[in-house]
Amino acid sequence: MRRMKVEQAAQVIDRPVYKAALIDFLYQLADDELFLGHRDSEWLGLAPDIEEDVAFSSIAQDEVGHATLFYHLLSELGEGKADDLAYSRPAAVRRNARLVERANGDWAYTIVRHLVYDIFEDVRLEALASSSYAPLAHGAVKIRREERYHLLHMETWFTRLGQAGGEAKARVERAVAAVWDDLGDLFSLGVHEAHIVAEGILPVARDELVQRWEARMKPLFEAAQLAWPGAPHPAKEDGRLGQHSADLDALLETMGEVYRIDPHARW
Amino acid sequence: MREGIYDVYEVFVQHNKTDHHVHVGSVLAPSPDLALHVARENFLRRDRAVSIWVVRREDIHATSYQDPDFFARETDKTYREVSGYTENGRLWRMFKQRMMNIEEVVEDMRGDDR
Repeated sequence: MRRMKVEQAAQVIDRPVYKAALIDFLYQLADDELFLGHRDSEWLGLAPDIEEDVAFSSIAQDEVGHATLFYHLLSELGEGKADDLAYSRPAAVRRNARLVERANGDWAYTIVRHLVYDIFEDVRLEALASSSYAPLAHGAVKIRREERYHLLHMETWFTRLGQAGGEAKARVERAVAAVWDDLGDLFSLGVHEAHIVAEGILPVARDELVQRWEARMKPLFEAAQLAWPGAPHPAKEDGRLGQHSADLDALLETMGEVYRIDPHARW
Repeated sequence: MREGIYDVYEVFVQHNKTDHHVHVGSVLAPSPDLALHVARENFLRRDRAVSIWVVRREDIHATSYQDPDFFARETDKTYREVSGYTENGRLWRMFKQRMMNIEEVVEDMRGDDR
């Protein structure tokens, strides 16, 4: 199928269906990155060693930087200022998957959640490189290059914790069970799914994304000497539809604390 | 690279006790102590130094030139640089000029209690 390429934001004004689907999908991308980045930043001062503390903080900044890129794309579409989009939108309109809003728990949960998300993100960004929305395709290629190192880091931690056996392995197994409970909506594309795929904004269907993700995950479980927990279950509640947990309310409360003191402050 | 019974050793020289050891080159030697000896002769004929390290090249873990994305910096990272904070001095002065004095703060807090 030949899809029409959209080179810039101004070209979607007279295409309301395309525009609505694009905006909803960009919120999924932006909110995913922002909240995972925020969770990562919560390890500041608490990571297992001081080197990891710095490494994880840099990863947190990268993720927030990627969110910024997506929020700027939304600004270009008339959605408002990036800072306001990041800080002031309530939970009910957030489009992130539930997985990324969860509290950090222990280090094993943090690593398993991050790995699962990073592989998903890599699969999604790979597909987005040929998005019909050119500004998104350009951004995806840039971001994917930076994510290469995140993936390497998470894979290394994951396989080492699994191979270590004992308490590390037991914690990873608990983390895997908890992460798998939250996997369903990671692959959801929300209310505009049909248009997001048909218009080539994300030119790959949900089932194909899941298959690609599974094909990448399984060898990592083998390397970590962990049992493969099976395919993700369909979501009971869907973060892409604004159905979020109390964890997100708490996160928004903390994250926006300074912003709310003076939303018009210049930073 | 192992050539017969010789190994390549990378050489690091420290010129003063307060300096870092700095990589200066490599030598071929049959043992670590001989590597130290020949490093002294080859790299310190003119310069003074207080310490030498030699490390077998095979023992060095390195990134691959084939993986440039390991170093990818694609999005804005200016917030990590000093130049990202050049405005701070001016903003801070502006903020201080507007700041309440201590009596005003106390009065303000009393007001909240009522």
